[in-house]
Amino acid sequence: MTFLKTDRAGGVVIVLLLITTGAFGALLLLDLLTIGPGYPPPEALQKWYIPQPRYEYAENGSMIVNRTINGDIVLLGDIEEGCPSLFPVFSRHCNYAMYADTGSDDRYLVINWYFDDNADLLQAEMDLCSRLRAAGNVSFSELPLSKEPAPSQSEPIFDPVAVTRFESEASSGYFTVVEKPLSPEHDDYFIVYFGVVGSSPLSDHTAALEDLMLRSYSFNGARPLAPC
Amino acid sequence: MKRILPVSLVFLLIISALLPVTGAAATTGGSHQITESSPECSLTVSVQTASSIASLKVNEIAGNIPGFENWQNGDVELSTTYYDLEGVPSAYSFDILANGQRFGYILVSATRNNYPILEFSKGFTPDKHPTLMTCSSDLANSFAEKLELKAGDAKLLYLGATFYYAEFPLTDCEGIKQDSVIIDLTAPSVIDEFPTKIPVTEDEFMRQQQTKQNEIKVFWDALDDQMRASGPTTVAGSATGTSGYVNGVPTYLWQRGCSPTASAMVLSYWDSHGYPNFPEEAPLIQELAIAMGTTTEGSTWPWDIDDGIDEVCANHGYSSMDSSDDAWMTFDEVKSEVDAQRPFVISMWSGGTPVGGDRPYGDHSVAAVGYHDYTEDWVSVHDTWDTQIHNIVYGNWWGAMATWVRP
Repeated sequence: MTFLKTDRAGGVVIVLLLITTGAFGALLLLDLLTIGPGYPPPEALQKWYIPQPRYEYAENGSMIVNRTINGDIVLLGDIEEGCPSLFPVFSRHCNYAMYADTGSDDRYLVINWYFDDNADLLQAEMDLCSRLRAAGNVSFSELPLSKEPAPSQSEPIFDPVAVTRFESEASSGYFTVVEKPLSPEHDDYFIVYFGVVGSSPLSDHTAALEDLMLRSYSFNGARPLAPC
Repeated sequence: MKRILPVSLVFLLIISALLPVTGAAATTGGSHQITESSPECSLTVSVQTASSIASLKVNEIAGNIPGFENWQNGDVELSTTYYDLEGVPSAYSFDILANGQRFGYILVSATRNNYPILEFSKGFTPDKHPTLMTCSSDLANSFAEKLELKAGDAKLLYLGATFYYAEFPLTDCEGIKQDSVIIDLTAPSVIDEFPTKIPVTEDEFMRQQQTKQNEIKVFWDALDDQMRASGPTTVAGSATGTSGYVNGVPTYLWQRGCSPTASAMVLSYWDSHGYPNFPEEAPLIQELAIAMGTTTEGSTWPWDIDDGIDEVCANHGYSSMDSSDDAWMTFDEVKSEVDAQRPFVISMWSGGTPVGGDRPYGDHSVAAVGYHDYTEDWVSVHDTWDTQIHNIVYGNWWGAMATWVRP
């Protein structure tokens, strides 16, 4: 009788063990077979907010690149690794690109600093603010970026982006900070600069800079440089 | 010259001799055998051949790329010949003209060491910007004066998409060349230091260049086929395979997950090809992510991708559009789908490194937009990480599932 009870208990244990193992295996399989997230690597994120050219294949296999970003604004050369000499290297993940307005010959600069650590971002913001104050005028501003109207609407939708306005002899433009724009669960931080090269009045170029921003990634939740 | 052309410039010369970098460099390459064993003359592209290539491409661009329709049957007119640092032609710029009006330019490589079409635009090359050229001349004259020399007429250099320069000879009072100065045209400045960085080892760099040269050869071989078929010019080379592409598929950057982003690229293609009810990029990706049950982290159960696409299609009135999984995708199926002008989603398990890339895809969904059927079979993809077209060798993954999307 005792034997029977022991056998029954042992059987139950074995069945439970098999069920547990099966469930664990199934979960493991599910995890193994799930696709994604396919998160962009740092090399991609360091140019994330820089408007990129469009690539197409001709039917014979030749790759062609269209550097026109919007209207008369074209990308000059390629997106460059590193920071331009005008601005400091706050992150080893820094890229920039130059653009030209072929109608007016004005030149524009877009810089993307990428950070994977919030503390590094905050430190960079502090350093950047102190340098900007030393080099020119700094103030708060909002840019009403217009989106394409929905089919049911005739007027464009304006989405304000909070920015830090910077004006100097060498370059004037807008800085903005975007935190975790891809996923709230992933530590990605960006400082982005959209500016005109030279001492032109910034107000003359805001429309062109907004055009460039509209050809960039989402600025949802963007804020100005905090210490400024 | 040593003062203004330091070691880094010499290094750039070596790089440019190996492979002039282009805007399409991230996915490309050419054959090592070509550059080392072929006679030098066979690598040179004449102005006449380049002109024929430009004419052919102008019509392709006009027929395939929205916004360039007015390039159709446009005349091409040689605008500028660019050189490398050794004085060898590196590229030809042709203006696109129609009815006496200029519509842009197309840049054709002057050597088979580089991609046939280097770039095209409705705008101008930097040397056509009066302000940039005036500024460059001023800089050269100022530099010459310091050496008590005189700057002569500029020779234009093209060392790759990033590198437009003007080289000014510096002559003495008797007109004898004593030196030269190179000015960066894109940000007018005297070149005294190139910020050239190579973030890889020399071996790795050489391997990448070989890979790129292989791909460049593929492009030239395909172009040779096309030129031979169209007849106007004979171009040296041999035909060994075929390529196919779906133009007009947008390149979206990663949002919410790779699977909804890749799927959105496919549906947006159909949005501009007879199914115009789909929403814009961001709301479409969000809707797809919800429909296919993508987690907040961005992961998706691959067998839900087709169901999600079907649901979104139905939401916008396209119940007839059919999406289906295929875990046994063959290369022939890839070819037939592309030839039918139907982009699709590939979800890879342990996806390998794309051609010319340096990071494997891992578990990743991409939008498939083309193929190369040569000695290796390649699939051309938009990978959600940038706007370039990348190629991955067919089978360079542990497993892959296609999600066909058919109207």
